[in-house]
Amino acid sequence: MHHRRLLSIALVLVTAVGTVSCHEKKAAPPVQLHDSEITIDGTRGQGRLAVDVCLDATPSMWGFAHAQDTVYLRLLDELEAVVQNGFNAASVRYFKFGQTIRRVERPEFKLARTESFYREPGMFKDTDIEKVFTRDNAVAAEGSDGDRIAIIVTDLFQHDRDINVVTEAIRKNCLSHNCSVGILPILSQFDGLVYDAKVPAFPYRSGAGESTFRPFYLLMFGDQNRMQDLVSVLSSKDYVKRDRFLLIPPRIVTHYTIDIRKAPKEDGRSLNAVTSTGGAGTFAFAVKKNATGGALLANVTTALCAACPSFDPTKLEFVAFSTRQQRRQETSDLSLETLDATASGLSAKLRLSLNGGTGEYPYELVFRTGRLSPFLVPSWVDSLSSDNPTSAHDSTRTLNFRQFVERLLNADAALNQPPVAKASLLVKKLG
Amino acid sequence: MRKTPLNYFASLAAVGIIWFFVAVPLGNYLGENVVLETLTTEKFLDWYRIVLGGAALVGWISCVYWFFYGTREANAGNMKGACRVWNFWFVGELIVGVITMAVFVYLYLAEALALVDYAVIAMGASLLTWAFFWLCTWIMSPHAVMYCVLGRR
Amino acid sequence: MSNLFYIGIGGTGARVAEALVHLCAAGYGPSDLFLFLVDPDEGNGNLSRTKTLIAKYQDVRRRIKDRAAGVDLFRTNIVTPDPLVWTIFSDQNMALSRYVGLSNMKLTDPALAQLAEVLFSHEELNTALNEGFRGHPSIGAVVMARPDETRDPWKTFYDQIANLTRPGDAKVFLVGSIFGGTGAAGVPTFASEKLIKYHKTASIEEGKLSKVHLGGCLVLPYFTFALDVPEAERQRMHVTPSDFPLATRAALQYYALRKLNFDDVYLIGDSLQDGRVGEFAPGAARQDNAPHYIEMASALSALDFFARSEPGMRPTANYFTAARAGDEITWSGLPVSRSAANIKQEQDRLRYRVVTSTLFFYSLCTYGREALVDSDISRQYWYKENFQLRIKGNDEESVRYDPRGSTQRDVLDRIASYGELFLEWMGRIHEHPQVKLLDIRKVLDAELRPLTRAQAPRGIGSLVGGREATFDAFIQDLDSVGELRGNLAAATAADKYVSLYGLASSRYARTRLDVQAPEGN
Repeated sequence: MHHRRLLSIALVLVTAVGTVSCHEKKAAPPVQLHDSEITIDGTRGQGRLAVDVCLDATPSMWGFAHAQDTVYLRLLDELEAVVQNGFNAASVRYFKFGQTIRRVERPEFKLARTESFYREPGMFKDTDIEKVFTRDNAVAAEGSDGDRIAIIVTDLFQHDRDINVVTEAIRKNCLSHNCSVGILPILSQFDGLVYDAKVPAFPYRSGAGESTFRPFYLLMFGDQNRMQDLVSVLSSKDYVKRDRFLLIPPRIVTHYTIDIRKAPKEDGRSLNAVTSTGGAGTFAFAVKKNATGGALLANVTTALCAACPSFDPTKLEFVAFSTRQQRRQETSDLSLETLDATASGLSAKLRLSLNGGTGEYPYELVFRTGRLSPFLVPSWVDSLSSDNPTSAHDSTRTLNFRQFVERLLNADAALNQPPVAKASLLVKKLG
Repeated sequence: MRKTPLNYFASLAAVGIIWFFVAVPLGNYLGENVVLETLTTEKFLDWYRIVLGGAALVGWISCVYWFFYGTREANAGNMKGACRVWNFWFVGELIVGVITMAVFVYLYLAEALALVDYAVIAMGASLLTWAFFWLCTWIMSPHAVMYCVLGRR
Repeated sequence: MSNLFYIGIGGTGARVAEALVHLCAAGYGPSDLFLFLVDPDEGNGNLSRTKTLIAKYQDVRRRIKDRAAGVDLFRTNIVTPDPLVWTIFSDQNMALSRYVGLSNMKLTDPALAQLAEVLFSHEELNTALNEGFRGHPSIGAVVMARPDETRDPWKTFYDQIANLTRPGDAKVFLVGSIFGGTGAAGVPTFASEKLIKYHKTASIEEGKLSKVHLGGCLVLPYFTFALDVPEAERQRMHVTPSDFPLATRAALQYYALRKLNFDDVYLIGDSLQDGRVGEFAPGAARQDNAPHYIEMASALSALDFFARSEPGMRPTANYFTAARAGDEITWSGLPVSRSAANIKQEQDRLRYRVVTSTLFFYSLCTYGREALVDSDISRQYWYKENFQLRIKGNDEESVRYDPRGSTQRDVLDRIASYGELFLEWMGRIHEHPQVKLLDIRKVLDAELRPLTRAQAPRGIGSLVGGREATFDAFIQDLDSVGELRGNLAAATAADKYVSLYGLASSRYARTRLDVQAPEGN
């Protein structure tokens, strides 16, 4: 059951992203990486924001509704109003899913506070998140031209083997389509059976304090800026902790600075900086006659978006492209020698080895996250994760939540390699 | 060429030509060969040309003063005094040359210029200061004082 | 061989000769001039001064071989016989009685002897004549009537006239005072028919024509002197200023009556009130009268006479008079030409020559001498371009390039020495307050010696009234001359030196003092 739930989640994700992507189907990252493709594009769509709330209607969720006046119920009540108040011309659709998914109108959605909502035949036996991605293939027919965010409200239990399935579904249907994933945990009172555990389901009832609450999750798919706006709007509610919102986007940097200088002393002996005619981020050097190059020092400072994951600087990747003769191709003329984190950012030592003849050699230099686990899992994820929650231990935590987040981050890194900084370099070889 | 104001203009043309050759071809040679740590090549050359331009201006002014001095009636029969004046201005130009080099050393302190680079710059500075003064006064001094120039005495 | 002859008679003749020689030194004279003097008073201060001057002039002229075009200093070749002066008597203590042989005459021709004793007083017959005729021209007329033609200066004089062939070829000019003794006697005597004009060497067609065009300058009274006659002299014959008017009148009457053979006569004089020229002295060295501008005017009359170009003879003589028109003697007041059309040009030419020669001699005596000892001169352009400072061993090089070498230095010293005499002469002329030709005191001290450059840095530029210039400007003009080229490149150092200073003086006069050279000058 767990396996299938995970698979369902994956399918939901795939569908959600697929739905979103249908409307905002972006091509694969363009060949030319412009500066605007390094930083997050802050522009918003002009159309109406459409939010699809997909409620996990399986019995594990009844525990959140069973207790009186839970945060979960408040969210369900207030979600539409918050969205519509926070966004002009926003529309909210409701779906319930489990083994299948179907759209519900608001009156039925309101029945989410009743146990029968979570025991609908043909739906309650399994949580198939993948179904969310297939919820409504006629989005375009609805005539909506605004941005659409899919919000899956679920308690996100999963096994090891299902993590891959769900991650793959999310990767395929969201991350690979320039779509961002957002994870927002919300702590709520719980009175029911905890199913996402390696042991049999155990009963759990929250106490008065928030430390006894269990988390449910808003898994979001869509445009990262819209998602951030939505979370900003939701954070007007006390139960929404904005600092626990994790965004897994294709681009993580709001702005950056880069400065490239020749290395001091012997390393840079054969190079001299020359005035660059380009704007910020463009540099020019001259290589002396009979020399092949030298060392360059690049200093990069970045500002990540608020909810974006930070990255391990040592796991950044450097790639140089030659743009000579209007063609862009990867080149080994420039290579990364060392990369260190500094107080303000990064310091990289690059080696220029130019064996060609006299002339001008233009390059594009890109710093991006490596493919292998460059992101750091936020510490709050660990506080909600457990590899073996039981009634006596980690009863308020979600099974393998950290692994889930980790794999999503790795999938994003492997797929998108979010860029961190870019520079244009012109090398003049003197003869 | 020794008549005023022809020598004023001739010396101005001469210093302009010398400055051009020192600033452009020689400057370009330096720009391609010096090792710069912090400055761009263009910035290096800008300073190089500006400072040498200033030195050249001082050199030309020295020559103009000497030419003016040599045409003054009061100085016609006072060779001792006139030669003292020439010596003073020549030494002054030597000092200007030294100051010019000091300015270069200061400007390029953070750079990694080799001794030979400074030697080349010193040659350029000399051509625009004391060597220029000497050459110009050798060729263009008014008759009354032309034999005060070192080498002609 | 010269066809111009100047005969200066007596002290005045000598002083006019002095002025004439200085004008020749200034380049105002003719190309050749034969000159001699007549004065029994051999020790006369005026005569001695003139003799010395002429000797220096000839010495300097002999030593200057080459000069730059336009530098006409010492242009005139003054030829003098030896002796220069006809002293009339060889015996210093000759008296008239002894000259005419009165003692013998009394024995051989007593009547003639008595006539002599009637015509001449006892003092006249027995006073020694070695100090002149003491204002008794009658004595002079007797003793000068027959010069010894076999001996110089008359021999050479007559020989030169004999070599000429055409009427009027020889221009002979006599100068003497109309008062006093020697001049008053000599002028009419030499102007007699047979002595010069129709002398056998000068006569053409048996006396119908003459090779000689005879001119004379009779100098009227123009000076006075202090009448402080020493006791010893009061008993002897002497002239006093009070004698001048009567003597002049008598002489003029005599000349009017007597048939003299002058073709041109110049009468020149000045008023007596402001014409002091010295202290009383009856003769000899004690008679050394200061130069006077009238002597320069008289010399100008000689030069005017020499310059005349009318051929042949005229039936009547021409009389030219000149006198001071106003209180001041300026360039425009000097008599320079008989031709009205030429007066302005000749005055300009005279002024130009005198100014440039004054500049030349002054600069040579001061800066020119300084330069020969100053080691810094090697850097002076005009010196560097023409000379070298140290030449050792090579005599020919030294002569050409080293004005400090002994031979060249000697030449320059002689020229400077003459220059001092010239400047002193100019200074003396300007001691008369009416003389306003130059502001010569700006460059001379109280003893009429040249002031140094340091003493008078602007003196040289103040010579001409209304102008201001400095000595430094003169040095600039020296530099402007530059390197001497052409024939001067191989000239001696002294010649180059003279040319440099001559050209610089000319340039300075023209550009700084606005004294222009007339065309053709």
